[in-house]
Amino acid sequence: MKMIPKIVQAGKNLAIIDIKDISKIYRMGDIEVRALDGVSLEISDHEFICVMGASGSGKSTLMNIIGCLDRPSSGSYFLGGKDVSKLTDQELAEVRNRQIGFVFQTFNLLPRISARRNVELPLIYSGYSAKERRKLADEALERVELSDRADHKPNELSGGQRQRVAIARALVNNPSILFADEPTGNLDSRTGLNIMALFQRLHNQGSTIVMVTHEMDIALHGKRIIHLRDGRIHGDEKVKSRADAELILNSLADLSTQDLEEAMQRHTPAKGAADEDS
Amino acid sequence: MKIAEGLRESFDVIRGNKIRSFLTILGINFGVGCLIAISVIGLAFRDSVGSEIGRYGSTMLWVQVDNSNYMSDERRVLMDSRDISFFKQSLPGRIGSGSIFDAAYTVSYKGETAEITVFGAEPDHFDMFDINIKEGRQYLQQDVINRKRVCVLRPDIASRLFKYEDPIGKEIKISEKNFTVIGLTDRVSNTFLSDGSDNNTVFIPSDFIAAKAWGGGNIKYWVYLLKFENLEYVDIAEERMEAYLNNKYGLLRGETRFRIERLDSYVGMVDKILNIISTLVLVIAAISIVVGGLGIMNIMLVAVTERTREIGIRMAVGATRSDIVIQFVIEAIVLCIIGGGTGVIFGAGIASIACMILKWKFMLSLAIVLGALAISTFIGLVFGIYPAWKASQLMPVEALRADH
Ligand SMILES: Nc1ncnc2c1ncn2[C@@H]1O[C@H](COP(=O)(O)OP(=O)(O)O)[C@@H](O)[C@H]1O
Ligand SMILES: [Mg+2]
Repeated sequence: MKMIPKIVQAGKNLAIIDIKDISKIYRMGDIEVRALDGVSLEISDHEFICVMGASGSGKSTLMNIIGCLDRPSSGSYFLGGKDVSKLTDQELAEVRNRQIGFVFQTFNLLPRISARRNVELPLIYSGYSAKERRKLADEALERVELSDRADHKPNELSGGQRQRVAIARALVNNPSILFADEPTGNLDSRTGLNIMALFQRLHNQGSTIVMVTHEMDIALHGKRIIHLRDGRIHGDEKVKSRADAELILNSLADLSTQDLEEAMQRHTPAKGAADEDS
Repeated sequence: MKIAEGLRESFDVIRGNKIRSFLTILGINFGVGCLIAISVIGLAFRDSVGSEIGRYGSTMLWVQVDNSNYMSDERRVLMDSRDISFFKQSLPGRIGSGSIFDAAYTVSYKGETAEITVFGAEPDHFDMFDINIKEGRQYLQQDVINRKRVCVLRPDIASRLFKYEDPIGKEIKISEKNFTVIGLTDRVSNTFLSDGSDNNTVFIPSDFIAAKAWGGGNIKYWVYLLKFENLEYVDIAEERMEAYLNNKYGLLRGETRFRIERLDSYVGMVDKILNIISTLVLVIAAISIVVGGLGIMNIMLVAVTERTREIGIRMAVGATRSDIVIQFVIEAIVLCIIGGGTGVIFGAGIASIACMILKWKFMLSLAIVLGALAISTFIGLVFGIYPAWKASQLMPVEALRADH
């Protein structure tokens, strides 16, 4: 395999992600939509940051830009000290491949190949041999506790299992940063909690996580919350009392069915505005 | 991405999308199959026509009264036996010659009667028109000199007159005269060029008909055919005969009284026709490949939105544009090779059955096979890769946004 120096070599205090005055404008005929309007943000190594906001506030747009899946209309973006706008397509692909793991609300798995082959996908593009790929993919599946489903195709898995396959795929190449756009959006609350427990564990193991959600109790699993409204940042605060998904799950597990439902109600806010984005 | 990885990915995708892959393969299979079947059958047809002409050789020449230069009620000048002697004696390289006199006669044997065409032909006739004797023998110059009443039968008239007996050696009546059957010919099929005889024809030495036709007087000839060793002798013969006839009979209002025609000029004409056939075959084959190609294109394009999402996913996890294009190239080539390979077998199978039924010669040239494979692969590549290349130019989010 090729050895490329990791782009992200930031020291403790240096921002791994540094965006300044980012805007994204969609033009549809005569109408201009400012999905992002002058967003500046610094994210350091080993953060667990949640981006919150109503549907349509520009969360996905922001995520896609800092996840290098899209380009801003204006503004600057430094990732690990490098100007992303100056990277070639080839270098950008390498960043996506090695520095970044992306988890989507709609999973975005290839439907007709097994979970293991899906997890192997990034490794194909970093030049691992078939044997190494299999080993790493199996390790990643083990981290998301899905080893027994490695040979299943996505449509043979539940939503939570699919999302865990997607997370395993995001993790498999040991990225510096994990991006997740509403990773629990298509899951029931208990499964969502499972995923949050997984994220917290990954964070404890050293991952930097940037997550988008429009649900406050999901956002509370992070350490820092950014509020987005109409494409602008309206708040940036530390989480004081952090939710521990593992603990909540354990307490749920002890309850009887009836209590469980009550507990679920307690932990699940009334579903907000239907969320139709991804 | 390495080729091996691309291959593995392609097989994954092909296996995963069985119906789409099958339809693509089927489309290519049909395109290649039709192309091969049509070109092989077309070439076999061309060959069958070509060999038909080859059978007579192209060194034949004939001279006949040129009716087109006469008024309808004008008396024709015919050739006489002195002219024939001149042809026979002063034309070098002659390997056969003769005239044809035909007449409708009643032939009968033991109560079986038929009204048919009797050909008065000279012994050379059998050679010149490549008439195969299946049983017995043809009549020879010897028989003609001895004025033997002998005949050779075509198969239909033979089986009509002789239901249960072997015709050879039997005497049949032709116009009240007895003739001994000495030979039976092969069956003639629909040939491109012929002496005009069919499977009901009886051949007898020409003198018997000629003498009767000219009432015992001097025999005159409407037409006379000659065959030579090679085309140079044909050239010489044409020149000398024309000079001789014009000199002897003079021109008619500035036009020749006799027309000399060469078989090789007909062969040239037939060659032109054959070339037209070849072109036609090519056009039909091209149409079939276009139709097959449209099928491939259709399937490939229908799959585009689904594939666009796939491309988005692959790019989101680190595939470069060239990774995407390489994968789709390999995939298209694999599909084309499978589809094309089975198409070659399918097309060659159809063509060989057709050739067997039509009794044509089955010829499959490497050029046709390679051509068909190349064309189908080209179409598969264009329609398989162009959408993939286009999708790979998008940013990953844009590709991911493609609707299901
Ligand atoms: N491809 C696009 N074309 C046009 N408008 C878009 C596109 N993507 C997003 N938008 C608009 O940009 C705004 C922000 O969208 P998005 O980032 O998806 O919001 P969120 O993820 O917070 O729900 C919305 O008004 C949305 O309609
Ligand atoms: Mg969104």
